[in-house]
Amino acid sequence: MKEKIRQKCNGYLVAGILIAGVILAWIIIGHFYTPYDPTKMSRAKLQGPSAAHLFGTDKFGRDIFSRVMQGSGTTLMISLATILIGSGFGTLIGAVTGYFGGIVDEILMRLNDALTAFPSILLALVIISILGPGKYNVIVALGIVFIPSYARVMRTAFASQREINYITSARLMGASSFRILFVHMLPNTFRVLLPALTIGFNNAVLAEASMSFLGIGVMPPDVSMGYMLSEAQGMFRSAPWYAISVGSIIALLVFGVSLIGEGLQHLEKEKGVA
Amino acid sequence: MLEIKDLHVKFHNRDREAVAGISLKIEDGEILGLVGESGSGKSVTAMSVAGLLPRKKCSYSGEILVDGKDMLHAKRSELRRIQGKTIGVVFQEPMSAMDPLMKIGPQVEEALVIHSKVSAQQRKEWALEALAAVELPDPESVYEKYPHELSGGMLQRAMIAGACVSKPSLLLLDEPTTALDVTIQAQILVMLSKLNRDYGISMLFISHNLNVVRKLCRRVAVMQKGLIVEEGSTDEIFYNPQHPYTQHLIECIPSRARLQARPGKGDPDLLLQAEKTG
Amino acid sequence: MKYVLRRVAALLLTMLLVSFLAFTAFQMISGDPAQAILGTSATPESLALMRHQLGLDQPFLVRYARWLTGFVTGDLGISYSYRQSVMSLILPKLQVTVCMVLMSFVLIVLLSLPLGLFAAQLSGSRLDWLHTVFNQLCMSVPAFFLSILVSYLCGIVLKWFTPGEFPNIKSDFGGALYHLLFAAVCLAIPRIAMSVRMMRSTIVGEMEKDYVRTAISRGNDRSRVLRYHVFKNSLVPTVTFLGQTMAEIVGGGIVVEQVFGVPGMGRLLVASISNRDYPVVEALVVILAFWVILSGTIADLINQGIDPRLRLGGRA
Repeated sequence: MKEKIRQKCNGYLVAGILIAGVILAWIIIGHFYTPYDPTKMSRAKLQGPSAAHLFGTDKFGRDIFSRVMQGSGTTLMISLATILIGSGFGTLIGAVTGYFGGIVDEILMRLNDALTAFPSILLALVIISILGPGKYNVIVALGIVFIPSYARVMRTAFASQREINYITSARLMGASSFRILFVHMLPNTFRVLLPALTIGFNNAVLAEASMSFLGIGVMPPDVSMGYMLSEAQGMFRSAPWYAISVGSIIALLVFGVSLIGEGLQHLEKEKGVA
Repeated sequence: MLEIKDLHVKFHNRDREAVAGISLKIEDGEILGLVGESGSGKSVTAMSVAGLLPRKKCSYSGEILVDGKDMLHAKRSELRRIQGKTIGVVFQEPMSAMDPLMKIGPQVEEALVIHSKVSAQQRKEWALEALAAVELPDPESVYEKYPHELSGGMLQRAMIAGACVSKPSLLLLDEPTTALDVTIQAQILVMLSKLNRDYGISMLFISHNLNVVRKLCRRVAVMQKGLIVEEGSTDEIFYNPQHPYTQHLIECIPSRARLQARPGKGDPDLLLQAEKTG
Repeated sequence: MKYVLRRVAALLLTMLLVSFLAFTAFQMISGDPAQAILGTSATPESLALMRHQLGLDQPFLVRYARWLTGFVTGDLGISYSYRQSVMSLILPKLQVTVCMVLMSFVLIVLLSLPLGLFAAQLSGSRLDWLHTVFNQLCMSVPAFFLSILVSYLCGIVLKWFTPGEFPNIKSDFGGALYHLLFAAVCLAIPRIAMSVRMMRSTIVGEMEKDYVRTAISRGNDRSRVLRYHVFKNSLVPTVTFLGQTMAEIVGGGIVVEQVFGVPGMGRLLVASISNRDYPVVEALVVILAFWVILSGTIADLINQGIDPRLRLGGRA
């Protein structure tokens, strides 16, 4: 029994939940409350980190702590929406192709191969060039780009269950395909989906940040992590703490979530052995 | 040759001992059959003899003497000097037991590269000899082939050649014919008893199939749940089984084969005849 | 030799397909190029003349064929916003980007192979978690943040190079390479972390296979098994991964170029997307697509050299 508890609390998972949890809580609080008005300019320009301004101020005298706290919310929202679209459609496609197989499966998977070979940022850029920049277009672009990788993962998860006995017996008992797919099979794919979601979340954060950093993602008045980094790069010589604090928050968030993913995979492995 | 004294092996992630105290002896030039269901501990026994136990994952006690040397407690470096030289091992699945990206030749030669300092030319010569000894047609061309280019039976022969190339005194065969179909199985059994006769190699032959063991071995040990429940000459065991488990195993053999292959006793010619008529 | 030819044929076919898709897509979204070139003040007559000059009054397939021949012969059309031929615009940027990407790739290969082997040997030991954490950390730092840090530390604090002042690659090739080295390192680090992780898990998986047990039964020690058997068997997925890396670092390079002020394809692409300069975007996208397909094919060919089973036309 003790052994079991120790296994459940594997270090990666605990550390990851702690790190990511703190950052996420901080961002969510930022949605309701920030110490200063993130857009209000003051006379305290270009000040280094201090007790009053934990992350210092930028060249307009805005409090960077408050800016990051609030601006990260946009990134969070975009990333969550992205993986929702990506995993939702990906699961649907994966379920249909993995369960039914056949020629549709073959064609979709070849297409999938071709799409996943491309750098995701490049595809997102191409879609953005069609849609134009902006918060919601970033979500659409990244969502579309993320579908193939989820479709691949879910297809394997569904296909591997197709021949399992209880699925066959459910089929023989006359359960509809829909019921088999989403009542019987879907819950069993969660252990694959969960780590994939953590990886996808990280990729979404990084992709959003890259695009906004390049100036073709989130547009003012919206502010996101990537947008702030590009802003920070402009005042890099005078206020290096700006870039460092934004970058560190991104890195910590991604690090925490990937530790969770790592922990989940270890959990799965240990279960496999026992 | 080989003497196992009170061997115990227990894996940390299992509750039951895999091998619960067995003692065995193989004389020079003898073939001993070890029979039992899967999970009865026969493979673990063989792996212990070969020095292939994952020592960190299990606890073990007893003694395994190969020519007077204790394999169970020997240091890794000492084990390596015995592995491939004094002891050769043949595994069940030739397809996965061979390195898929290395040609047959170098794999057969590998034990020579490690254990003897002979020229590359000499090595190749010996490897070709070994390939011929396992009755592979056209050893020269097999030498240059990759594992996926050979059939399972040919591959298992190549595997045996690799285990015999440095003229070991003991050959461990862990279900070597299980993955093959019946005619090839018979041919390989014949080939093995010739190897035994011509080179005087002692063998530990492991199988879950009593019928196969009977064709090759004069002496058989029956294992169940980590223990040896019965041991004796093949005929004794076969016609007068004492232990209920052994009786059960014999009942599982199709009756026609039980009646027909009477002579047995490892005589290859008779054996082949029996196979043909049966 | 036959499989090489077959692979090359497949490569050309894929390229043709991709170029057709890209051409169709950009035909649909780019609106009227004549309007874009002449601006809103153009008269209907001049527009019609321009359309005729550009061949827009031709059927779709003819236009595709003309565009394709143009692409092959180096005539990529005319940029809307720079009013010069796309080819002359792209070529110098292409040189810079190729240099950066190749440097980065060499770094990745040289560092991740030995590190991957080393990490595999650590697996299962007490230091394993340290490697995992360090690895995740390297993957978590976004390439552009790393670039900002490096350009601050090496550029502004240590003054090893001047950020934003990129030497002309033609007149000062060495200086340009030196400048690119910093960008290449930033581009390489996250990918190195990924490939080390990938190699580690591949090697650990290979070590559990049956042929390793066979090799040990012949008297091999661990390091000899690793060198003669496992390494080669782990190479196939690694080469595939490195092929993807070759494509992926071009994508990552877009951002890194921006930070280091490197005048490469990435910056041109971003600028052209912002300006809706479709001929440039289209050319760049097709070139990048070819790059991706080509690196995949090269990886496949190398793998077929390593693994004879792949030569049968099967997949790994």
